[in-house]
Amino acid sequence: MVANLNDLNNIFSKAFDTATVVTMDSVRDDFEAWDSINYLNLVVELEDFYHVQFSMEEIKEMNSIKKIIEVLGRK
Amino acid sequence: MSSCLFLSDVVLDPVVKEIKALMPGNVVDANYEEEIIPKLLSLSDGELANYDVLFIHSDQVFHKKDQGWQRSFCKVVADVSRSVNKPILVSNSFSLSFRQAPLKSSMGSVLDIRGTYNKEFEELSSLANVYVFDLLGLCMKVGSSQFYNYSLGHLYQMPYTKPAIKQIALQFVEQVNFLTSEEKKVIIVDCDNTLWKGIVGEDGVDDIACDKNADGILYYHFQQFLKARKEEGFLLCICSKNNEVDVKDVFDKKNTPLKWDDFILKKINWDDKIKNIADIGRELNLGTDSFIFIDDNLFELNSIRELLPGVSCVHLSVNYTDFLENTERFVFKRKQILSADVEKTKQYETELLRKNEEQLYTSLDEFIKSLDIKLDIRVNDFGDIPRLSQMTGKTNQFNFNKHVFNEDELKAFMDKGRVYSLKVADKYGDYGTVGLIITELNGTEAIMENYLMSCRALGKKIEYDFFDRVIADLSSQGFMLKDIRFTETPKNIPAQTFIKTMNYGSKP
Repeated sequence: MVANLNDLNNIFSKAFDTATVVTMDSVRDDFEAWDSINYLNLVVELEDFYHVQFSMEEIKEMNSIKKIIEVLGRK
Repeated sequence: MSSCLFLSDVVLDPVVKEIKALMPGNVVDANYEEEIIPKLLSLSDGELANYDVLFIHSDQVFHKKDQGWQRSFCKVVADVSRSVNKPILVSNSFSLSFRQAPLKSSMGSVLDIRGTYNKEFEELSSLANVYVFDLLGLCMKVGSSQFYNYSLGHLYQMPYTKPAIKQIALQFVEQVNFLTSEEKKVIIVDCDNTLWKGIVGEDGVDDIACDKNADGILYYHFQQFLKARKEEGFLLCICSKNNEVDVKDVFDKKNTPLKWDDFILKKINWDDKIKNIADIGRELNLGTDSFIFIDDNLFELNSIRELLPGVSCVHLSVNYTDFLENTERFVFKRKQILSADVEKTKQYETELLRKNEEQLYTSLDEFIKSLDIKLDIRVNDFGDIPRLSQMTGKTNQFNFNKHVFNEDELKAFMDKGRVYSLKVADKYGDYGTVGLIITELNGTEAIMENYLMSCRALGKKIEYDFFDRVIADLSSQGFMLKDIRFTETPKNIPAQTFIKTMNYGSKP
């Protein structure tokens, strides 16, 4: 599964309920909106968009754009 | 606009987000409680004061608590429901906690659950304000492997996938709208390509289809569906651009589930449907807000949507899956079905007979005399309580203050005052229980808490006789009527007229 930044921008904006731009270097701390409730929304949206289910390890791991792309890449 | 409080032992924030997108402007507050039973036990009236609906959601398909816990959960929900005078939605998400039944004794997991918790379910469903939120039904629709997300659930206490979240939100919005609005009473259907496939005026009776073959099966099942709704108390009407003889011919010659006489009114002509539907409202003495209109023609549906916005419009398409979705819509549901509902079509039929005869008499008074109306008034009769409580929710036109009383509140009024219920019959038949007067007594004074009369009894001066006889009864018991609680509502114009002619009114 290859994720592109354009799709991720849409997914993040939907999950955080506000227009959000991500780059390859973005990490969790860069986003004020990235709290645990919004992370929930993010995981739900990612799973829905890419038709995947993450394991608990993967959910704990995804704290940056690089990690998200890497985890999706393994699917 | 309504406001809802969620109490749940899973995190529902994504569901709330979805609900807010579906019904903006409504208040939905979600409370996550890891231990939901102590929370329910400590619930105070103040916490609930600002909410219209309480949603209690304990997902045991996810949590898998033992059966003893699930039983006490049911018990506590029943206790809370008794003390709260509001609609309560309860999810039916129970489980058998890793139980592995021998192959021969298992009835299938949903039935097994029903059997295991039968006593608790019966207690819950006997309470008038408790309604089931069918989570298991949604789970079957989506498929349980696509519904639950255990990774997210165990990390964040939010165990649902996106498809599940969408379905829960949609179902919740529909159900809350249903519970906070009035029920539909009348189903009006088109004929060609709605009750059968084909156009009878062009194809001829022989070439239209409503049977168990592929062409006709959708229409056959649709007629069966309508017949079941009629048995629950809905009134069926036809509104079709056709020649009446052609339509009658279909029912005479085809062996369809519905018969000609199942329809209480038939508007089969070439007038526009807006006029016909408005006429149905006048003849049945019912507001068009209580109507559902079903047609295959989008032009007809859109014109009704535009000009009679209270009517719920349903598009009957040729896709069987869409048809099944339509049949599950809440407009076709009843909150509660009483024996009186099953008689509905008959009662309205006799009412239409009365109207026909009314035209023969020169004066209304003369006509009313000829009806030989008999009033049967009962005081504090517990057996009437379910129907009386239903009336306080459903009656709009002749209703002094639109205060809805649940069964316990009516019992309380019977304990400390006099509650009069009225049954009416005339030479054409039985009207059933149609009138209610609630009085509260204090020393030698009586206060009329509410007075209501079903619309099918109006227009015959019964409301005056009933009132006079109640006042007479009160004074024979030593009570003087001191005050009447009356509030104007946009719909209670007949009651306002009554109050004016009686020279009575609530002092502000």
